[in-house]
Amino acid sequence: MIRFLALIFALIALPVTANAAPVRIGVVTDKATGCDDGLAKKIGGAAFVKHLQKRLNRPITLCGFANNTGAMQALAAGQVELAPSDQASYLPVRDKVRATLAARFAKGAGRVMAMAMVTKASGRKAPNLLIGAKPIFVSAGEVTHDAPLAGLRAAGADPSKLGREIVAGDLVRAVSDLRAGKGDVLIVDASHYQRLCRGDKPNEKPCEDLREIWRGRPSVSQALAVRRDMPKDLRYQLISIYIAMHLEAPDAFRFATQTTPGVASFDPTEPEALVEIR
Amino acid sequence: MVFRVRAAVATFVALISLSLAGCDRATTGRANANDWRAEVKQVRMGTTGGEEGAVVLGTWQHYQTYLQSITGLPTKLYRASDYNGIIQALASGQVDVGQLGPAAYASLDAQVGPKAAPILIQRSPEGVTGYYSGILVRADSPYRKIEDLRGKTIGYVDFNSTSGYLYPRWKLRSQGIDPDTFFSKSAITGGHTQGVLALANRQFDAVAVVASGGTPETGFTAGAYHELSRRGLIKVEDFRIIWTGGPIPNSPIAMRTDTPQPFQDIVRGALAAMPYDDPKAWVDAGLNPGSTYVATDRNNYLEIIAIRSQEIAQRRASRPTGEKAK
Repeated sequence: MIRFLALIFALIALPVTANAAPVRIGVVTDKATGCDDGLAKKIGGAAFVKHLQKRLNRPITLCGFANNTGAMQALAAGQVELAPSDQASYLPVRDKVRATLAARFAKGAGRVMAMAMVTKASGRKAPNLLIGAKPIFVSAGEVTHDAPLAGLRAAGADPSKLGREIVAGDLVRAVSDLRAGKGDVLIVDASHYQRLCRGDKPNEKPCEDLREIWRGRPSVSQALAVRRDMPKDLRYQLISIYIAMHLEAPDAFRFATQTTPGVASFDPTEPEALVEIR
Repeated sequence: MVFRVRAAVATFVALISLSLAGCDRATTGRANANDWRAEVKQVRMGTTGGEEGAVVLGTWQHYQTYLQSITGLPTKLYRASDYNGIIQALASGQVDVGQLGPAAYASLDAQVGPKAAPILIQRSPEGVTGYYSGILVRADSPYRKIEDLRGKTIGYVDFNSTSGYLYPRWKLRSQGIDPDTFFSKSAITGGHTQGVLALANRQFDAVAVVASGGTPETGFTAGAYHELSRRGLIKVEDFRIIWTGGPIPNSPIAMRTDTPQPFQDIVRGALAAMPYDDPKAWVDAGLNPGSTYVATDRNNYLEIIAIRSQEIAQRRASRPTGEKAK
């Protein structure tokens, strides 16, 4: 009877996590040992594993790979649940995996959404038809110029093939330059787009004479990827844990970003965030 | 002996049963990916319509559909009639997740402490996570700067409004203006919309309201008077902002922390992923393209929590002798 009671106690004391399948996280390390419960300690990832384990209520196993390509192949094969990727390692397996989180850096504009607008009369309908087109920008800043151009580049519009730039100085002048035909395409960040096209009167459509031929963000050079068939619950849990990691578990965040200096936090991404159209 | 062992086993089993039954849905720590739905049963969301009235309510109606499709649970949206309604709904656990202004969150924090936490905050495309309080006057008035309003009347939104009460009063004090003596008369209008309409009807010389969708340098494109103009009730050009204070951290989405952890993470992760996974749904919900949600925590609101405490202390100190606290 004593043994029976001891067994009951042991079962109750057993962490729930022991019953669940581990979540396997791929990391790139020179100690590329595959999935190894001891790897976290060897590479300073104990706080990271502890944090994820606590939040997911499941065991976490780190899996070491020599490079992103190995990690992506393992992800595509279902041997890990989350792994680092870059553009080269992602493309061969993009039918099976998707980007889901990317670093947001303390410096720089970040992945600013931008739009390209032409007059409807121009007949232009896609960003790849902008070769030789004269772009108009509101100003020459990172948010208003550099990030939108990076986004356009990812969408397949090579900035070097655009015509001579016009930097208008303000939004009113920029849009009137477009309407006056001084330039061919107005390239604006989403905040200026909102300011331009939202209107302040009922049914007002200030952009009715314009056509949006592109909207997007700059691509990312690195991302954390998951399988496309990952259960939604787990993906959203991972997103939640990662985007708040810098606030909730700074030690875990330091490990998660140790190979990429200057990261302020993680952001979710669209599935094809790593793709640049050539 | 047999009887004693049986009694011990029975007592042990009863104690275990009691201890498990006594655990609420947070303290069990046993909610995992498979059982939290049975525990939660439905997603209960709440909003006041917040700092921008109908626009925020419309957004939450879209979140309702979105979260229902993700969780597979029935999702209910409670609309509180005023700021205090959403505070009390979250404080009492009648809703699990809701949006409220920063000062309302500070009030919630004072009531329930860590049982509720801010989880998400909106970030503009250029990376800004704050908004402003503006003092609005009629364009046909002679008022051009705050000093012109000495001895005039002002309308505030609600005691729990950040941009329409708490923040401008604190900021004015920090600029050497005591709002209780500077203005000849002040009153609570009950909402941003009501405040702007009262100003349009010349019931006040100025009102303190939310100013968002921009900065003092760029001008604003959102906020109560822009929304009213879009509805055809006023014209934007009939008003001007003569004073701004901020940035104030944006209104958080707050969540009860005694709900199962998977539920909290799935709600936060799904809302944060929405502009990337379903950008059309994001825009259809009335949110600016390019804006996103980012994680936040209590530390982001420490200044507002402190300002609220100061305001309450100030109000108590200025109460006439003999008046009892309510």
